[in-house]
Amino acid sequence: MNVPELRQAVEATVSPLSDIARASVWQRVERAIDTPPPPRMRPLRVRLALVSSAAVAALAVTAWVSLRAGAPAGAAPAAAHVVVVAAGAHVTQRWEDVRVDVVGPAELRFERRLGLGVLEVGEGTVHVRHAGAPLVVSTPTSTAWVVGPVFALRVHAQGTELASGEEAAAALVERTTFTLAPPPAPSVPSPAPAPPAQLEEPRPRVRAATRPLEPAPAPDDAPAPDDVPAPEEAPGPDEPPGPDPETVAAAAYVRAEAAMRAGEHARAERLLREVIVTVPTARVAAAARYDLARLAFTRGDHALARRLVDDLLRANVDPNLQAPARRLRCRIQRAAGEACAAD
Amino acid sequence: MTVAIARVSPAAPGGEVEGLVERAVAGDQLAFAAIYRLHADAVHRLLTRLVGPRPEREDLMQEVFVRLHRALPRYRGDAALATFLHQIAVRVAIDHLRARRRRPEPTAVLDEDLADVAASPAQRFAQRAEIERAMALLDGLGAKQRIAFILREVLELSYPEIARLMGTFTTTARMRVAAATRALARIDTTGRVR
Repeated sequence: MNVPELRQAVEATVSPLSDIARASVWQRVERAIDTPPPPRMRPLRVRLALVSSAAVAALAVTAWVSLRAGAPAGAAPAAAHVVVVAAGAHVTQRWEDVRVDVVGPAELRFERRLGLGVLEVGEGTVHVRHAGAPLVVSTPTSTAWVVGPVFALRVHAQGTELASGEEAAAALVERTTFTLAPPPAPSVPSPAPAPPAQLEEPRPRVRAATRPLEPAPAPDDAPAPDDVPAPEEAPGPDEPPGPDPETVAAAAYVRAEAAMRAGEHARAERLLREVIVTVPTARVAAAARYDLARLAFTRGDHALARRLVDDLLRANVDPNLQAPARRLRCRIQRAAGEACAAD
Repeated sequence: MTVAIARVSPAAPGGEVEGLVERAVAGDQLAFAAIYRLHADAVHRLLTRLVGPRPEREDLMQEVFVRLHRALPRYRGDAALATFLHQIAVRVAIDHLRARRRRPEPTAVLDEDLADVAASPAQRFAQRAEIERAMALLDGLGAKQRIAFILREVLELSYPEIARLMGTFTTTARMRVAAATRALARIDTTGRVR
């Protein structure tokens, strides 16, 4: 059957619409348009998409509610890490890809909920470094997502301070360490007005305690810098006690790490020396010795690097540093043309 | 465009149709009844050509006018109402043919379906057989190919007109007609591909 035959056959079917059929169809049309149309059924793909979107939204809401309420949703609860740090103490903790430096007095809790790291800080100052997904940070007054890999948090009675980024975080921790001095005991009101609180006051004391590891001989006739008071300028008995040395050292180490990452090696070395001098026997000082040795080796000062590494290996303050220290010593020996025990 | 459609449907005076549409949109049932009276025959003829002399043509007519009633508020008057209505009829026919392909059923042609009422019984028998063969061939095509082929080869519409009625591009309409012609050459009268 060719196309003209097909056309002829199709044309042959066209019979006129009878009056009865026309009236019958109109009645049905009239009935149909008088009744409201049934709800339109969406295609299966659209319905599936809507259902899955609703499920995702419900899951997100549940997760958010559970995060706010502190209760895990669905999955088995992950282990929570609780850290309580006494006043003036410094603690470093590492959980998976999160590292926190806590300056006491502080109280915090870290756990994973639905794959999200949740850091709850009751009080204190916390310096956080993390490499994974954004953290949920919760304090008594607020909850926030923190995206940056480095941030610091200070929670106190007046509220929460948050600083994101290397410099800002280091500055917040630094400021904290100098304002954490315990409040002066209430005294009998004096008719003379009390001098205003000097937040910068403790800074010279710290600088006074800081001296180079290898003190350079200063010319006798050189005038002492104005901002470096003489060592005998110790705080008087009526002055409030200064910050805890370990706290100061921890803050300096945090700043030194930031300086190393920023490539400011001279500043990093100065801060690391400050750590070593302030708390020579603490673990943070051992870490500072190792970093300082590494920087000295990089700079070409192999003698200083070797001395620092030897000190570190001899003291054995931090067992975790022994292996890297031995490797560094081998590199120093090889650079000097000596044989290393590991060779 | 309107001219070609007029070959399918006797057009009413434009102004009158516009007035009817406005009144029908406003809820005047009598106006919608007038539209139905004006276009029922044309829609019936078009559906018969598109889907064949099937008993469900009245259901399809009802569906066309119900859809028209719901779509009238969207009718902007940029095309003739007949064109708008025929677009709906083509859509309804495509839906019906697709559903029918899932439940194939041969077309049984009755005497009252024949246009030539003066034919003898023998001629009628021959016509019915010829129509059933033609319907079996067309049933072997896809719904859109079939519609495009009939609009082109039976109603002799241009490709832009076909494209407009089917809501597609001219090139696509041309390709569908060509594909249908090729497929018809390969389909035997039982609807199977040779």
